[in-house]
Amino acid sequence: MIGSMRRGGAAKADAFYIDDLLRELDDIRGLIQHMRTSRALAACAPRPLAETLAAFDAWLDVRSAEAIDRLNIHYLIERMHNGALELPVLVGEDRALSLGPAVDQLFALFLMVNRHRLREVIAQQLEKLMLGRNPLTDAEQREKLADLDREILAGERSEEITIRKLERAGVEIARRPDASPLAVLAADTDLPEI
Amino acid sequence: MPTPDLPPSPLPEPAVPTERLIVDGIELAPAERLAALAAIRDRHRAQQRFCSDRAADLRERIVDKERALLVHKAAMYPTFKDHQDAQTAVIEGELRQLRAAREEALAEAAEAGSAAGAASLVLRAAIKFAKANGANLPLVLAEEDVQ
Repeated sequence: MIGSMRRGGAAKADAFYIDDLLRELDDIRGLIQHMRTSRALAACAPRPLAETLAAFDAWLDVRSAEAIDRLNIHYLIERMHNGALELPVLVGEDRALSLGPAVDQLFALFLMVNRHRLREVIAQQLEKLMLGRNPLTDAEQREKLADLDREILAGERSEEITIRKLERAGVEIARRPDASPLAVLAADTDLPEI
Repeated sequence: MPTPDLPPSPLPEPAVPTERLIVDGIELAPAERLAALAAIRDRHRAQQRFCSDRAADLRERIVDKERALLVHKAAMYPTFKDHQDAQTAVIEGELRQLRAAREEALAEAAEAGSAAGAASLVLRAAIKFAKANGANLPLVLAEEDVQ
């Protein structure tokens, strides 16, 4: 009688232990999911506005310089020159006109002349696009991704510890197909809480 | 002319599965863990086969019972109509039970199959990772990741 009561008590304790482990596993998996979402968001975080505009300014510098260089204005100072500027309209072997370079040149001239106004408009639009998003510099993004990777691995190791505890208690839990091999291959001695 | 002494040919190294491996500061036990993961996958597969066999067996019994029911309904029992109806009800009840058991077995087989699939993905990823980190794998598992 006492023996059967003890067995009943042990079974109940086991059931509580397993329930606790299952709850813990759910919590850990929820946390991993949350951290993976954070990682995905950090991976596609936009650049800060200042960096974006600096890149845009650098591009504008290059295009403005090209716009002037391609006009070949040095011909203007030659005495025999009639003072005209020409766009590079090319005629192919089949006598077809190729307007691509001319359009490109016109666009570059447009950028050069309207640079400040255009930059202002683009800056305003980018500010609106940034609303509700957390921009990160390259260094910040690298650091954040590395931190999250470390946290995700720690979470996956806790998950593996709980799964192995459950397996030892006779409850088989399916591992997530995307579980980290570093966690599932870890030696028992490397997961000290088991 | 005497041939010069040649150095002894090297003995081939036995491909012993790697017991311990350190990757990113984490101690791995590839041989032991891969064997454990393979055992889990194999248990799910065995369970799937067992349930599929059970479902097939139940299907045969259902077909037999359906045939028995047809025969019973077709038989003429002019003086034992009540007995015939009672017997029909019994067979129909058994058929319902068999069909429910078959549905259950099919659902279990599907569940075990899905668990085996997930376990297989985990195993393959682990094998690929262990190989990429230079571990020797047990022969029975070495080609699993390319299957």
